[in-house]
Amino acid sequence: MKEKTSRTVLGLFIPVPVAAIGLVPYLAYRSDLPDRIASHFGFSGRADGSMAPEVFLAVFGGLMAVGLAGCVTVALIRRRLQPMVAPSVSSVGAFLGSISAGILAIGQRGLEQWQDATISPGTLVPWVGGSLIVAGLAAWVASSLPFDEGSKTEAPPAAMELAPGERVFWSATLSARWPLVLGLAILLVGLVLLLITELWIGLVMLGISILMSFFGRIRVTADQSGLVVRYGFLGWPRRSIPIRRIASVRAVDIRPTEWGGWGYRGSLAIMRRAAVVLRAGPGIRLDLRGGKVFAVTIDDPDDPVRLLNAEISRLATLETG
Amino acid sequence: MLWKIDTQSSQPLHEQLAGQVRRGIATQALVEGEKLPPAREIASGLGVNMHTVLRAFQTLRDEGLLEVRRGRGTSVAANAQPVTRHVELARSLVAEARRAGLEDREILKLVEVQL
Repeated sequence: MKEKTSRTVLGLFIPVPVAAIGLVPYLAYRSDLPDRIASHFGFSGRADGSMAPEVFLAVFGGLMAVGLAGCVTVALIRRRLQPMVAPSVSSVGAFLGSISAGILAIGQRGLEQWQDATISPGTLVPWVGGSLIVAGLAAWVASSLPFDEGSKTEAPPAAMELAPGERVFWSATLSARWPLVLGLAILLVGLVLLLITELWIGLVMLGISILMSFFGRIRVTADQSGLVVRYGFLGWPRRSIPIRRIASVRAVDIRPTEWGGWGYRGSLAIMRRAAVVLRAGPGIRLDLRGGKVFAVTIDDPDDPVRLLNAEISRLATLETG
Repeated sequence: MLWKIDTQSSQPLHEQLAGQVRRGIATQALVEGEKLPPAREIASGLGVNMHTVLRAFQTLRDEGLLEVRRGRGTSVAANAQPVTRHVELARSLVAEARRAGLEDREILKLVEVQL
């Protein structure tokens, strides 16, 4: 029943509003738009590329149709719905819809010709920012859907025996090669772009390669205060989950397809789920209070699982007296 | 690796910590060249003073099990694995000789004779 609701939402209630966001402005403004639609803007802010309305409709409508068909197909065919699927698909769809709708909203109504269309930081920021907000909203709505997570009635969480005076600390590192290889490739492309095109494109690529390096190595620690993930070779940035936020912990086999891929997937704030995935295989899963889920790939997850569960119950007995 | 101390034990904390690392090396939970977490983190994780951790590291360095490098952290020394066995043998020799009433000078002499 729950699963059926989720499928209906994924196959119907997400695609339809997304299509509306993207297509309704076009259909509504159609008679007021210039002969061709400005679809690309130069650095001066003036339109320097255009599309025939039919092409515009085909490109953006087509993109959206692919995304929406994806939604519907997943809803109809996937045997078990993965919790990360609906938020990811719907946020991408909503972003594309909103971005393409925005192109029309950037003062193309009533223009004589498309060359008159301009874009400025004052319109660019709300356009992209607004689209991101719409995407976040779609993800947030989709993530509140109930999903069948398989057999939940498992053995009670494993915990280590801790005497009152005993204190435990656990630390482990996990490395992966793909982010470094990919990061290096992006860095090289960025350097070339830096020389032959605008500076900012190169800087963006540089930024991306730095982000990639954060996933070349993570260090995970667990103790009485909770779990901390430190990214990259400098141990920065870091993400901590205080022990008070954790309801229970267990060892899991992390399949990247179930968590939306590799790297940092999802978002605790927007999608209610997040995972740090460096590779397929063993990991630790934290079920947080309030139903959120955080997972990290790590070798030999038994020790941190037993440690954190012990500290959770120690805190609970401490508080109940 | 899992670090565990007992604050109610009569054994000093720095000795407990050193024992953890020795056991880690002996069981290969810690492999040669592996970097240990920063002393500051171990200390805050276990709720002990950082100097307690540094003192344990110092002992282990003197035993040849750890390499401590300023600014580059602490790592398990090359061939620490075979050395742990000698360290353990020496420790039990000292403990047993003391129980038998030998003085430190005499224990040193005992070892010297074998060289």
